[in-house]
Amino acid sequence: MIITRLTIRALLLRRRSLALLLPVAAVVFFVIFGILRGDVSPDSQALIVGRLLISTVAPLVALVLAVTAIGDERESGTIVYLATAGVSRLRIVAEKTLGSTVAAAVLLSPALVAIAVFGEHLGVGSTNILRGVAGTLLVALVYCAVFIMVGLLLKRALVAGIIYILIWEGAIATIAPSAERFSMTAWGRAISDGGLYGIATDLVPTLDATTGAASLLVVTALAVVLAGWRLGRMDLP
Amino acid sequence: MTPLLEFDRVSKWFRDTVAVGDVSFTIEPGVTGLLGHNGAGKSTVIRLATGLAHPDEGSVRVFGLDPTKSGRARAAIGLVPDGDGLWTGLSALGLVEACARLRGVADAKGAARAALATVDLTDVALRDVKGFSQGMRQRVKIAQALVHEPKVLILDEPLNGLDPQQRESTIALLRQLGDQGIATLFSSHVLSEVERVSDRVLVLVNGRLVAEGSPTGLRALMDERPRRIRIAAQPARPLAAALAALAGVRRVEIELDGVLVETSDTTALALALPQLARACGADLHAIEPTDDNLESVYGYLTERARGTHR
Repeated sequence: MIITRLTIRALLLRRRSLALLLPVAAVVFFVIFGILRGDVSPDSQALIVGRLLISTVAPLVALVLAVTAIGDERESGTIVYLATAGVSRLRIVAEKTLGSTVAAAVLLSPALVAIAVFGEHLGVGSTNILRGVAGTLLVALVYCAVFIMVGLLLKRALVAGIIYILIWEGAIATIAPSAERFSMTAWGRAISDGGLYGIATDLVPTLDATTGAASLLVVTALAVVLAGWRLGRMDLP
Repeated sequence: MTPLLEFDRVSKWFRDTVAVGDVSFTIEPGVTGLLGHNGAGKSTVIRLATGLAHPDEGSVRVFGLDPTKSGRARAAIGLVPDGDGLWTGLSALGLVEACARLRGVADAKGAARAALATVDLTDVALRDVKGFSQGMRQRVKIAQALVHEPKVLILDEPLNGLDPQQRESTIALLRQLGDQGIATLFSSHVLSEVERVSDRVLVLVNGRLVAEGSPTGLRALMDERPRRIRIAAQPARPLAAALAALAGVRRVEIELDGVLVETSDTTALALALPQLARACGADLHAIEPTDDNLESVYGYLTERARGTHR
């Protein structure tokens, strides 16, 4: 797991990674704000975990880390040490995905603690709290896998990812129920919000948690395999 | 017997530019120098040899295996890349150890210590590579390439950025590795460096292999080429007439402040010139070879390879 360790280290030691704590802080802020105001409900849980953390913050953090995980290595030339080491390209991609997901989890941890505290405060139960954490981490995983792949296919993967998050995930998939079937964050929301009772109709996921989790894992596996195939066929600097 | 590294009619191009054209060679134990000017295609040859780039035509084999597909082929190679990039936030020992772990070395830490000792970095092994000089970084790169005891060692311009002392120790190290039977391929654009280290030299010009052989054979080939020498002298005309009759002189041009001579026998010219100048009553002001650089040597070899040199 040396590539995973090197990836986590490189991503967390970058000063620019600290900027990703800003959106994470937004989640913490809304949780504190909600608790202090007092008029919170399961809807607040669904909005903060499902719509803010899972639909925007986790994808954004994972996107930036995923694009950086291989992008920085290509830019600095250190990827040649990985590519010539005799390990398969698939293993490089799989470990890069795992490393960037762990780094994302570390950066997201203040938000994960905050939603756990919020869930406790609302009394949604430990299962729903764990579902929120699991949904967030699985969305981070799928985003890391998909955007490592996109980073190997496109030069401007970061821009493409931001546009995707804002337009597809942030707008279309949240207002058009039929689009939820093709939304990675909707699959995450199916895990986190599927067990919440008494939430507004438009916040109730249309997919069940098992379908959501299975979809996330299948897309992750496909993205890793495709990225490994792509890395094996591309010329490196 | 399967060659350690084999290029068979390999071509690689980037859009309309031929980076490497129809190159064939094999590498055996010992040191092979890959000589060529900047942009000649040396780095592309190295990227092809290490599986970092795919040939558009022909095949590259390491122990008979395709390095772009076979992890075993890539694992047999140690590469010192040209780029300066190293993982930051790691000590020299940590970095070389990480490379050993990547390559599945059993005692990664022990192997890393041994590799750092080989390049004389034991004293600074625990220091962060971020603060290393270019020479020290170069040696860390060599250490990581040696840590798994490769059968084939490939170095892209390993002497770049080294001070004279580091250069000497690196040259000695390359020689030592070659003597140990490691097939070492190293690129350089400096003829004298390649001559000192290599048992065999490959000369690459504009992506084509234009000469290969022993350094002495290459030197003889280069010495054979006609040389152009500018002689600043006045009056130029009688001196030009006298030089035209000299053995080995192929062409004489009168210039504004002297003559330009093309000769295949520079020794004869050097010996005869003072006497000829005296006999013509010409004052000699300066004598300067106009093509005493690698570019012109490569140019000659290219023309020779194309059969266009007169």
